[in-house]
Amino acid sequence: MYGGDEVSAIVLDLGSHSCKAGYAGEDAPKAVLPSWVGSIDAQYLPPEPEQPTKMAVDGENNAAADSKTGRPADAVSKKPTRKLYTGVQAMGYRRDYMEVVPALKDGLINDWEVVESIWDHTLKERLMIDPKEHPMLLAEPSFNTPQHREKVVELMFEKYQIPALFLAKNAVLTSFASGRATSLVVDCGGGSTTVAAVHDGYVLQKAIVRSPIGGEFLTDCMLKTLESRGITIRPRYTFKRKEVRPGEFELQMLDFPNTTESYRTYLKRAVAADVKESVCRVPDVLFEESAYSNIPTTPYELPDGQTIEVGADRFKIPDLMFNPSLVQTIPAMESFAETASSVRGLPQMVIESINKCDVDIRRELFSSILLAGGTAAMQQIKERLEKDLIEEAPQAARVKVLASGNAIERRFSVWIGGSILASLGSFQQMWLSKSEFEEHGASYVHRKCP
Amino acid sequence: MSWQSYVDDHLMCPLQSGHYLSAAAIVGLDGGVWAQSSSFPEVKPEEITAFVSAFDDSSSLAQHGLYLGGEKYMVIQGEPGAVIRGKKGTGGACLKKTNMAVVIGIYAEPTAPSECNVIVEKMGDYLIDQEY
Repeated sequence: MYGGDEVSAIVLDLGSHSCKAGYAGEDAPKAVLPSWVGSIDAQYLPPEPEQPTKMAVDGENNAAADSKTGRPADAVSKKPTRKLYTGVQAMGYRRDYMEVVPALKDGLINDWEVVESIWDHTLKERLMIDPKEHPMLLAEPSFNTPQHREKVVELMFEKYQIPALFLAKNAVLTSFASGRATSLVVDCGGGSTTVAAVHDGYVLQKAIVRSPIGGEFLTDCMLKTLESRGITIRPRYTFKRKEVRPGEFELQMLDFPNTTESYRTYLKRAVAADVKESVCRVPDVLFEESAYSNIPTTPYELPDGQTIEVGADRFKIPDLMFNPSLVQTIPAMESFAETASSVRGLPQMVIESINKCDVDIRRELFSSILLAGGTAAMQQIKERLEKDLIEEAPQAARVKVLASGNAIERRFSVWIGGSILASLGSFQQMWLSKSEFEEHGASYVHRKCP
Repeated sequence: MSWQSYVDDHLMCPLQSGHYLSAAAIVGLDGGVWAQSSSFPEVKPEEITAFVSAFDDSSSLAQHGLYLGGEKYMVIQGEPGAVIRGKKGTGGACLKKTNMAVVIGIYAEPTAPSECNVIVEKMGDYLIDQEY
């Protein structure tokens, strides 16, 4: 058993879009960084000097770092095949041949080397802590696989040498963040949307419903829509902007032929994501092109100074969450159109999940639907979900959708739940300690953190 | 060693925190009770059939609940094909399937759910090793 009361625990939530980390007991994460890293293949790197680690600039670290980081010996002897650039600053700087790679795919960890570089950066450069001294509460997707859980546990204990660990499901943490032990959690995240029922602090069997429509998908749709309207989105590195006369600017295009397509797309998407967050709003009823043809437009100024007007699209794109088949009308998203037919809208996912749950708690679930995740910060999403659900739910059910009034709290609900859980006195006996790991192995986590 | 002593000495023993399970049993997949603690509720044959078949497909159990001696447990996430976990108020149950039997542990406060999981699943793994 591990007495974790003395030093504050670290809460780590690695999502498809961003990684959130900070101290338990605080009300928001200290560090938020992208779950994407820049990667340059070894063939494009200049020959490494003798002590590359000494030279490392803030936010850079070598893919196959030195033995100080406690890597297994075989990894050290291997020549690094690529160099990773982690964190907001390192990625904001354009480099020749730098590709952008994600840490997660379909909500699960896909590239462990990338994950390690993100954790390294988070713990050492951002939180500036020694992981040996802090117990670590990690949030995991509600549909995480046993293999992924064991790998995380091994990495944490063997590489970072942490004293104790706990894995908690995203849905459970969101539920705790709103002070409820039983609820239906609708988590609209970056990479996907997950609906899961939580009872007494545990995710119910069979009640998880997922869809690939998350913030990143909406961002892609926004980008494709803008481009189809003839708007060129220029990432900041592609031009210089000079003030020739007061209030009058001149653009000078720059050319970097060795920039990778993935980096360019990454930056374009960042702009499209900001357009989405600034102007989008969920429509009150099902979106119809004709009804919105005369809607007043909203202006948005792009980084290069051109102002665009967004009209019906600001309602159409968020409506994709409620009506995925709408994707067929978005140019260049045809590849998704086939899968879209099997994807259901948010209200249908909620009903499906509740119908898979125990008959005795369905009533309670209908009246405590929690809306969380970054995409849930979209205006009017709560009102629309509640309205649609009242229409579709059984007559006897009293539907209540709950969401924090504050966009920050919606976005970080999982992390905040972790912060609350890890600072509870009664939680301290739940930690999986390093000695228990050493005695029983990684599979022990399934029992300690079911 | 009789099956009864497996239950009495290795399931109903003091746990790491000093607390105990409230009841435990080993039940054959065919429905026969191999051994049970005196506190174990009287399970009906249809209850056994229900949870044994739920190791293959838990959707019915998830919708209607796990019953042990007439008491209802909500089915929370377990390990498909291997472990069923139930929750009732502050207590709960853990069921681990072996080749021929199901090891069942029932706990109530102050025993922690993870302690029940650990002891029941350890017993289950041991029985699987012994080819039971």
